[in-house]
Amino acid sequence: MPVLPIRHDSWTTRVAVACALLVTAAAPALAGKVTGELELSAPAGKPPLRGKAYLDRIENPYKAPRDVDPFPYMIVVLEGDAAKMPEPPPQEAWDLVGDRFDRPLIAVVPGSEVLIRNKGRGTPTLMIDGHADLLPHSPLNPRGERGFKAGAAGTLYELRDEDTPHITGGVVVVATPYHAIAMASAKDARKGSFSLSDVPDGTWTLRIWYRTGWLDGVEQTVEVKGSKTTSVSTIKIPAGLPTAASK
Amino acid sequence: MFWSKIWLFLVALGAAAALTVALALPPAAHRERVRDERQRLATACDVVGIELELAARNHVDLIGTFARAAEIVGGLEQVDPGMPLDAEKGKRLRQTAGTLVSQIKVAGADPDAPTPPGLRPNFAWMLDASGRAVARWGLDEDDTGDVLAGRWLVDDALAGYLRDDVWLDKGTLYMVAGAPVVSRGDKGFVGAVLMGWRLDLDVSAQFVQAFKDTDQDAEDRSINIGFFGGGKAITKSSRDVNLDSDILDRYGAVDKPEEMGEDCRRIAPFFAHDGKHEYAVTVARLPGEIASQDGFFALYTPRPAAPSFGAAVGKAKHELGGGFPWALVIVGFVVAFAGGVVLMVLEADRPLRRLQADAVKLAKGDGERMAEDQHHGRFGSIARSVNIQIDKVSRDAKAAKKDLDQLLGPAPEGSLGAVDLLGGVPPSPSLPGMSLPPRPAAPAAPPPSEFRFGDQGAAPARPAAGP
Repeated sequence: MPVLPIRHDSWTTRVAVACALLVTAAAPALAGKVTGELELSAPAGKPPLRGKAYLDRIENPYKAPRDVDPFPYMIVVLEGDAAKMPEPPPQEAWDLVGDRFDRPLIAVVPGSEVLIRNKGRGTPTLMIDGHADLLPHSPLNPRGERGFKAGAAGTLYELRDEDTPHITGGVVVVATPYHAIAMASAKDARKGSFSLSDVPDGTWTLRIWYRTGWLDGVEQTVEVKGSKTTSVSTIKIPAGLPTAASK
Repeated sequence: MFWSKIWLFLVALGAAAALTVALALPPAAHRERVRDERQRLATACDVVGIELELAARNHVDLIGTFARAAEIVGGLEQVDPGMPLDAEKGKRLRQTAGTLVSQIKVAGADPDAPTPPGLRPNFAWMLDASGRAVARWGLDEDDTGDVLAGRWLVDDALAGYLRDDVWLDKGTLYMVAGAPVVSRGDKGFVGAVLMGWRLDLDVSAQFVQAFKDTDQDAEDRSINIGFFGGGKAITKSSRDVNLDSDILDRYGAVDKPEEMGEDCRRIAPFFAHDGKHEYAVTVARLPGEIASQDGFFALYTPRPAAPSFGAAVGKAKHELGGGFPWALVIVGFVVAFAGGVVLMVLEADRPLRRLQADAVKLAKGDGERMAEDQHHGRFGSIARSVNIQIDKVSRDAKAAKKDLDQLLGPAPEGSLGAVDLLGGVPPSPSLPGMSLPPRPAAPAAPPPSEFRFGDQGAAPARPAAGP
């Protein structure tokens, strides 16, 4: 391939570089936003009783207990043309904020580094079930950090503390960076919402990952055009939250 | 002799029975004691389980009351989970919690009476609706802002449940209770409160107070308790016994039933050593969060001593009230011995002496026969036998005299007849019809008349050997 004898200090070069920067900077602005609502077909039910001690737990007599909130465990993912995928982010920070992670489930793309930051007081010894070599087997001190590299898409990393049973979290590897964690509605516990930004134009398939697998019966096709916000019709989550992995 | 034999038989029977009891009873009693120890351990285990459950119930009742206190509800209503914490508000809330805790008393008890250990919590923590620590009293008071949500009890409390749990925190075991804090307005759940009660030596000792051996005997049958979690010993009711490492080593091999509540009855006791003594140990798992950290409690008591004579004597000393009845044993032995001697004198010694005296009298010629009616039993039989022999000899002598008289004719007046003749010149063997034995030579020893019977009458005095 012939190389043009362009002088770097010429004004044409400077203009070309400036145009290129402008085009690059303008590209995300052309990407669209995808929002939507989720609705549970049936109440999620009472939270499971974990670690019963001497007594059965007693319902507070002044106000009915809350149902379990499944939305933090739901990740809405847009899957599409691999050619439109940007470079994977180098790092995904995940904070341990005491006796839990700030998000119980996160999604990363293949090759990302998951950086665990201990912002609590404890010194958990974190480990990943089935991937003992990914994290060093030693306590993570307060303010300490620890990371591991995500593998292939579809992999689920389940982290837990060796010393305490309640510190758990999940990292699911998805093929696309266009994903978001659902948020419960403040007014209605059965409703949630999501918002994805910087989605390139094109046709995407919306899927939802719940805890350990893809939810069945919730896939949708989403058309994204320009910088407009695309609203997805309310997605009905089947009762019982059936996942492919649970079948 | 009859009563002597009966006495001997009875004494032998008594001795045999005593020996049998002495040999057979300690092992049987030991087996019974081992069964008893197992039963005591299982009972103590059940009792501790009940006491822990009762304590948990009291804790939940208390935390429910605490969560409804106006000062606590008001303090948490002012906290916005999305905003940074106000240190001043947190401090006031901590002081309020401390004041409330100090007012905890036993219901219905004397207000001036000291609060028993284990009733007042060691810490009280207040959390906002997101599970963030707003204020801490009693433990880690300077730490706020960290999130406790995620812990099972905290999640349940934030969701609206009251419950208990058992936590292991920095090497200390706590019984914990949590409750939601409900707004008096329309804010719903504005947070949760937690209280924790440390399981320490004093509290542990309370659990086994009923099984403390207060007897002053040498054998200690007290049952002690130790709590374990995370592969370590946490606390125990007595520092005098150190079985921790042995119990931890053996706990892993214990066959545990599926249902945790059956541990006390289904887990077989094992034995552990503290270097000097052996202990029977039973274990039961602790429920709640600590269960996932191999939490359990162990009850142990000194193992019953192996059966031995010394142990049996020691046991008898204890059962009989402080001392073995050596005096009674000695008196019993003396009575048995004296009874035997008396019976022997009455039935053997005295009749033998009478027979001996009678025989001496007969030998001295003071009588012609032995007095049969004065001797009874076997001694009378001897006298009768001797008299029969005397009678036989007498009859033979008379018959011989009669034969001689017929042969030689009647003896002249004033002579002794044939006997007299034979005493002088022996009849000639050539006489027809006569076959007399040869006359024995004159004895070298003194004649029988020189024999003397001693008073005790055993052996005749032997003549002195001639030169």
